[in-house]
Amino acid sequence: MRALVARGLPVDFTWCEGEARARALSEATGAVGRRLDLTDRAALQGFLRAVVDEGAPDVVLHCAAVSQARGLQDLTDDDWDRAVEVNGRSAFALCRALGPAMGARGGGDIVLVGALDRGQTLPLPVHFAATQGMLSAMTMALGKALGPVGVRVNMVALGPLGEGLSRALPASLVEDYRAFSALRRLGTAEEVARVLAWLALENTFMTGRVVTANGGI
Amino acid sequence: MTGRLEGTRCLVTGGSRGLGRELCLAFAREGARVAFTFRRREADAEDTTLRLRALGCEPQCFQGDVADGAHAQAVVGALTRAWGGLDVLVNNAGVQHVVPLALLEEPDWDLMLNTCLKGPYLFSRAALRGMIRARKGTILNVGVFSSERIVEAPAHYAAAKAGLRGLTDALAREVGRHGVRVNMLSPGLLDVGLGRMLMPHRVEEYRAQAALGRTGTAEEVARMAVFLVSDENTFMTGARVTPDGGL
Repeated sequence: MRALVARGLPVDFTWCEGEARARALSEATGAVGRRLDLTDRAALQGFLRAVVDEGAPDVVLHCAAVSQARGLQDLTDDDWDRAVEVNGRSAFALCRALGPAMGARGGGDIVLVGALDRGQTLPLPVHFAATQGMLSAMTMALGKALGPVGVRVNMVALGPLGEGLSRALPASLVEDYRAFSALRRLGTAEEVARVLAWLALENTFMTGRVVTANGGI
Repeated sequence: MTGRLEGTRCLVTGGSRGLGRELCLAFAREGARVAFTFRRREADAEDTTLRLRALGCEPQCFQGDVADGAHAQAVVGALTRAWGGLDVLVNNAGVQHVVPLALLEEPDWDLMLNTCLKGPYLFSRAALRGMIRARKGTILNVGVFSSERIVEAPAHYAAAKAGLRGLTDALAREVGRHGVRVNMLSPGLLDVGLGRMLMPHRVEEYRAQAALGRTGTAEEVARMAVFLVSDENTFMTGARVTPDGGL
């Protein structure tokens, strides 16, 4: 958000929880925030229809994700369904609705934010890992599907950050990551935002790809 | 955005033409100090030099074989004396040689491996000592899409670049703790290099298979490289970036 606003771009965003943070972000950046629960299919559909009616955007970033730090035996079907709904299905719905509309306007960029490119072997929550695999495979197919209309779709697979979902990781896993990643540290939201902005605004020839920004794991 | 590489000391191997030249020009446009190497084509090197000067950049230019360890040491040594060090190394030098494996001669295999794999090893080794001492630096290895997936491509070229991919991964891991990042940029078929050597029907095949329906330009790939080597990129290492039009 801040990386895009810093480049002078008009930005809208959605949020679900953390109303105070969303309000503060709106006040600080001038960006318009709208509350949207991505598990509410009707609300998502209505939101996407409104976006298309207002004029499809040039750039879309899908950052929303949920996870719970639970072992396999403790995961419920509801945990699974919610992760699939937020992390995967909402990205699909978004691309299905906005991709063609962006293409009709001359093209654009969709960047999906995830956490795995399948090059790593990590003890992550199973439902979360499954949705990340879904996201990376979907990126490949979306690149093919929307490339002909001039819409590029790529994914950035992030490593653990010092904030956000990473806070739910077990402390031992975070320490393992620090010890074994090439850069020996966690990332920051600010530095991965620069990667997202680069991919969304400066890439013209890459689509359907997963790019890692993970400090070397 | 300009000035993203202001004062950054960059060395590009194989910079006299093709993607290497575009990398030099893109870096210079962003305010970098640029040096490049070339092997044989003096006229191309002169042309690149003139183009860089037109951008207000006074390049350092070195002739030699990237597979010659003494050459690598001499280039990095000269730049260290001239600039006080090196911030960015781009291992770009390659060989364009299209021939089926059944007809490939051993010297051709050796030339390819020496240029595309041994060269990056020698130049990285030479550059890393200063980078590790400075606890800062970035190496960008230029690969090729054909080492990432099954496509019809010269086997020795794909093999050398696949080796370079391994070198990228291992080196990223080895030197990350010293503040040095190592990434790989593996473009698809472009308007330079291999893209100019293939038969027209092969290029058409590529366009038909690529989601974006076209080959790329060296200029757009070079623009992507600017971010990868800049100080804006602080968390990507061991990463592969494959701008191939969605092949």
